[in-house]
Amino acid sequence: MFKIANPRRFQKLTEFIYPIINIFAFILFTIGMYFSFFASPPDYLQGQTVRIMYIHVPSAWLSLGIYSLMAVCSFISIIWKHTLADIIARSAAPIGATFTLLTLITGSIWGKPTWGTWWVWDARLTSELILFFIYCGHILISNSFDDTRKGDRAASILTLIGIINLPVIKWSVDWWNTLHQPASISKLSSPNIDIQMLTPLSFMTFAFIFFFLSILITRIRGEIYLRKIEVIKLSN
Amino acid sequence: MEYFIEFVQNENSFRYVLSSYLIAFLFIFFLMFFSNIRTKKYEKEYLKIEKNYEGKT
Repeated sequence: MFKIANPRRFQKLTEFIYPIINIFAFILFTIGMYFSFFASPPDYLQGQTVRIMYIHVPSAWLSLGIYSLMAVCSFISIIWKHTLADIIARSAAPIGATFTLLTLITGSIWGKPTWGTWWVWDARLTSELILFFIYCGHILISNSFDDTRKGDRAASILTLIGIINLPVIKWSVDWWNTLHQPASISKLSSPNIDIQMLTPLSFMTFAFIFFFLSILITRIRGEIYLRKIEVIKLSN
Repeated sequence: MEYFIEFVQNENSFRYVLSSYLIAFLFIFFLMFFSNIRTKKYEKEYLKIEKNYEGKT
């Protein structure tokens, strides 16, 4: 596994898969958009605003998924001091922060016609906002040291501490009385959502995942170049 | 098509849905755009420095 995780090999591999990921992202996105607007019915309660779900939910899942990826990378970085793990965590943080902000904004826009308010300090919304602040903290800390390794280490510790927020976000709707609806899709039971709505949601989720992978690869390549520049400068 | 026409005709929901999608597109587009610019910048800088470094050794 660590052989594949060599930065040079990673760059060679991504040169090949990067265009494929982009093609998949755009195809899935086009199909997802078609299903979102042309093949999915309005909700009996929320009406047409339910279409916001097709971008809000994938963003929310990604915000949690990206943080989990960062936590795994931080763990690997702290235990084995693997450079690529640091690079991945550093590259994923701004993308995760963007998707978390997108979740908060689209959720707020969805909340206005559905709940009658843009924002409430309910457990799900507040814990998602805290996740956004943790992402910002990671970006700030990792960039606030002259020595990149020190920055990565401090950011890794923050990420591992912040992981406690993930189960709070996931189960906040079950633990507390919130305005936010409970999960409609769970691994342990069959989806609580009609197939006509599940189809666009699935396509958009996979499209978002491929967009994330595409941006992540780009940022990792940039980060590898930056570290190579630093090494050359230091050796001169 | 029926669902889409129904959606477009619903003025109240239309602006909420449209603004959400526009914001999502803009966010993803800017993220891709600036990430590409950043990587291209470092790639150029690296190739330039590497060339100079190889010239010295």
